[in-house]
Amino acid sequence: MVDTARYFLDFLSDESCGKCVPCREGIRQMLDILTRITEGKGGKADIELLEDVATMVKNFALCALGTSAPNPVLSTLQYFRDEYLAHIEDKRCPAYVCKPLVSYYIDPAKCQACMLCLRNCPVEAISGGKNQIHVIDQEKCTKCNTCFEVCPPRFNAVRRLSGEPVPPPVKDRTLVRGKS
Amino acid sequence: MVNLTIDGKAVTAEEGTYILEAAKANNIDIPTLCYHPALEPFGACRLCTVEISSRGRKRLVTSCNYPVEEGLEVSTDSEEVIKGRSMIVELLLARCPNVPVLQELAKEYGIEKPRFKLTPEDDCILCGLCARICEERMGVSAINFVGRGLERRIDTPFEVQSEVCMACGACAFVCPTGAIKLEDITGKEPRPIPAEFNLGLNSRSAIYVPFPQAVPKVPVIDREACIHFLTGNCRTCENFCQAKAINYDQEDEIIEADVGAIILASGFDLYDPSGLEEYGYGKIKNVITAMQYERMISASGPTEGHLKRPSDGKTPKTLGFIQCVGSRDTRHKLYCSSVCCMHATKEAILANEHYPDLKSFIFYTDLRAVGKRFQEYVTRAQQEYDVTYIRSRPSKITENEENGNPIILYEETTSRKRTSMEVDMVVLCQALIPAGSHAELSKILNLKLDEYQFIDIPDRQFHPVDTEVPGIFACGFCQAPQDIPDSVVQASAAAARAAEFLSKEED
Repeated sequence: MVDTARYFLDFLSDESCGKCVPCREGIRQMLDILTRITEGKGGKADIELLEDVATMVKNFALCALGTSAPNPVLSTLQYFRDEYLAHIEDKRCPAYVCKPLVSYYIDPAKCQACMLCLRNCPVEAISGGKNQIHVIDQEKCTKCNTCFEVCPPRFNAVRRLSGEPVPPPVKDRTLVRGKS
Repeated sequence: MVNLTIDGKAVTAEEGTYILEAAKANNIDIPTLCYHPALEPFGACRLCTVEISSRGRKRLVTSCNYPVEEGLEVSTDSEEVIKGRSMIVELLLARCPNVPVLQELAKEYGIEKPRFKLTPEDDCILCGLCARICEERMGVSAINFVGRGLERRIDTPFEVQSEVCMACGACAFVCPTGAIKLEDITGKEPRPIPAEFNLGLNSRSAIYVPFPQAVPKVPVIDREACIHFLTGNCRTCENFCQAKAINYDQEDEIIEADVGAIILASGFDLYDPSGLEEYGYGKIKNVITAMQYERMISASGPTEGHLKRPSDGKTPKTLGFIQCVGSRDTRHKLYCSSVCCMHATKEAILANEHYPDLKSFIFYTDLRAVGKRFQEYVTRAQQEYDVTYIRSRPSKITENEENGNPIILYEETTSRKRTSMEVDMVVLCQALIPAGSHAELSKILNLKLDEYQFIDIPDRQFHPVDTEVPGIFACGFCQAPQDIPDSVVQASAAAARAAEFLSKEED
């Protein structure tokens, strides 16, 4: 939801005419704060500041674009405040959309070494082979979500992690089949 | 008239005016940034937002462009208004942290440091005053807003120096933050109007009071420089004059008076020293005239009484006064101007009174301290005020190119020694000549001029103020070089002679 609000403000920053201060400078700063939060760099005071700016812009802007510009911020703050707190306090994105806060991880217990994700990874961040459990190189990964989408649901091996560390790769990567 | 209340105070305002104007007229302060009394309200800064309640409904509006209504209740300091205004100031301060106007406002609203990321690019707050005055008042539109949203900025079309800009400087003048740089807008050089009374040491506006003690003390418009007379636009002064005293149609009037006697007291002008090329006036920056010096040392002058030499604004440590610049000179004026020895002495004393370690050197031909106690004054200058008199005739002044100091080359006429002296600033005590209007006046009145172009007085011994024409008297500098006490004596004499002449006529 934080990212949704950020998306709207990014759009509005292009659409604002820039005449009045609340709309022009308010959107500039709200966008900056939201971007900061989605990157996991938000601070505790940011929510209050965001609320203050949004309220002022809503009341003081010149035209209807300006007065409605903070609505995405205000309504997400009202109904999804816990998501904001998760971003700021736990550095966790509950919706797994804020890339800097999300990591992709292949569960070694579930991976069947089917090579699907490995072949589809656009940046060749996944290593492995036949009968060898696949591992994502966190440095290379661009978090494009492709591996998550192609991993067959019956395996369900690719997991998205947010707000928790990525477990180190297993030492012995040889796949042992025939387990129950 | 419309009745409304602002902060509980009952106020009447003319219909069609705005809340802000009504508040200002009643000394109720509302902060503004994009408002200017000469321009149409713009409503961009939103700082003048107030809370109104009309028919039981409260809302926030900008006072600069909300017309007054009957029964309107306005609150300029409700909690919501103050909170919003301080947020606006905080946002602007994040954009322009170095702008004094915003720093002042921030102090007023208790903001120490903006909580936002500082994004200083320039000092422009995009109030649009510059673009609006250029369009609405100057009729030029050399600059305007460029770009949209966060990209908005002030610029010329196609970001090149404008052809249509007149370099009038109105944009830079109204800019509250000093962000406008004229050289970014136009390649034309702005032409400041030199202030005549200060001998061009500073500039003045096109509407001005000629000098501090002007009589009558009313401003005049310089038609040669006023944008309204040049282009037909502007008329900004009209908006500011609360007495509605600006009259663009006023013309010179010729008043005919039937009089029995005329007293000429047309005074003197200064002889232009740029004709004396050897002294480098106009070429060497630190060579100024005595009148320029006089304005500089005057508390009402352009430097408020501080001596600042023109090249670098430093206070000089040594002054050289050159006497007889154009006087007693076969190439210029043959006569002695009579007052320069004493005024140079006075200037040198003044300088030492202002700066006790300042030394003055007066290069004189003959010291003419003719008057009661004048010689004592000169002696005091030498003994108490570090003034040295050098009997000499400087032949040339050159410039030390390293520090801008003038170097005076001269011959000490008592010892016939040729030498030079480097001083920080040179003051030329130029010759005085009869006032410019004098020649024309004498022609109209059919008066003869003497060989030095002063009014001829046929009998100086017994009728010292009588001209050739009966009933026309002359006193002061127009008839001979003299100082103030002598002029006052002559003025009294002329008045008495005129009275005598008129009473004779009545008999």
